[in-house]
Amino acid sequence: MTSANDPFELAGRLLAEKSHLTGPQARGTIRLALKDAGLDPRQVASYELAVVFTRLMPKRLEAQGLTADQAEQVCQVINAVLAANDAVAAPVAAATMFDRLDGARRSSS
Amino acid sequence: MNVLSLVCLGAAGSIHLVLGARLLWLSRRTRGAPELLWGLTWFMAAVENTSDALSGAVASPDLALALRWGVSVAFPLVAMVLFLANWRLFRPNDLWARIVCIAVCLVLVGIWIYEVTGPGLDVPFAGTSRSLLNWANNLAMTIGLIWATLEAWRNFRMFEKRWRLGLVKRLLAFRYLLWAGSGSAMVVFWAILWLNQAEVLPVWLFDLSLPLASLISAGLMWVTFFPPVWLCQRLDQEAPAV
Repeated sequence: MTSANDPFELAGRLLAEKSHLTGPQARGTIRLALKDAGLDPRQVASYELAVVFTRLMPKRLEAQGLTADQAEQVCQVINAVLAANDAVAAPVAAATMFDRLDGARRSSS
Repeated sequence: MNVLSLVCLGAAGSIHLVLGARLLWLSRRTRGAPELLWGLTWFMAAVENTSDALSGAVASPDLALALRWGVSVAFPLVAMVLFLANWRLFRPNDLWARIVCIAVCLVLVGIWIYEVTGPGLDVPFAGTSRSLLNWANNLAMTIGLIWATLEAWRNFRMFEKRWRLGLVKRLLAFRYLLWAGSGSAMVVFWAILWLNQAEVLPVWLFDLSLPLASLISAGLMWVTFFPPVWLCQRLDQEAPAV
């Protein structure tokens, strides 16, 4: 995944552009929301980040001084960009192992 | 040890042996390093423990010596594979995990060579408390299992949060909970061994707790990797509270 289409970097850049937050503040706010969602910024996929921006980020942005409407609007804009971004996250090794094992078991039974 | 304790330890060893063999068999088809290394860890641990037990029971001194040699080679390998499995499973992209693995492997191999070539011991594992390899191995196994257990708890917390957002299935988070439970029981198992080595544990408590911890750990590990159908179906029906 290049830094240009890295979902975390992309969302951080957009958030800094669309709000009064600086780049580090924007990335820090997203990082906190990702932590609440149990996600790793290095491995997050666009669709996962979109869920975070829908469910968790509006409240986080309100805490940063945006009004509810502003927060909602910013999240919608970023979600639209994320939806068009097809970057695939690096899978969690142990999680994909279970998928592979279950698949192998099903095909052998 | 009483008969019940021995039966429990035997059952736990058998579960680990079959679990390891099954993971190794499946890894031939999946071609995945994590399942290969985790399977190898438990398969080798079970074989090594069986050889260790047999070496004290066989009548032939030559066979006993051969088994001791086998154990002395297998035991450091189990610890090394455990660390490699932790790295590949939980921290494949972290440089520090790779460095830790390499360091542990180098130290264990170094001690093994020192004990084989150095004076004092005919077999590196003989006279366990005198053997530096024994201490280093036990320490490596304990640290490796604590690492795996902490990673399993961490993953459980992460996947539980993801499940609440509808990003993963409940079964995945639950598997990490089982894994963490199994690892915790195995850490208790090793803590009992350390306490017993320090001679601070009453014999009856040792006889009771060691087989129990071993059996609980093995059982939970089995369900982690091969959950029964009814459990999968039940967890699939659980939707996160919106």
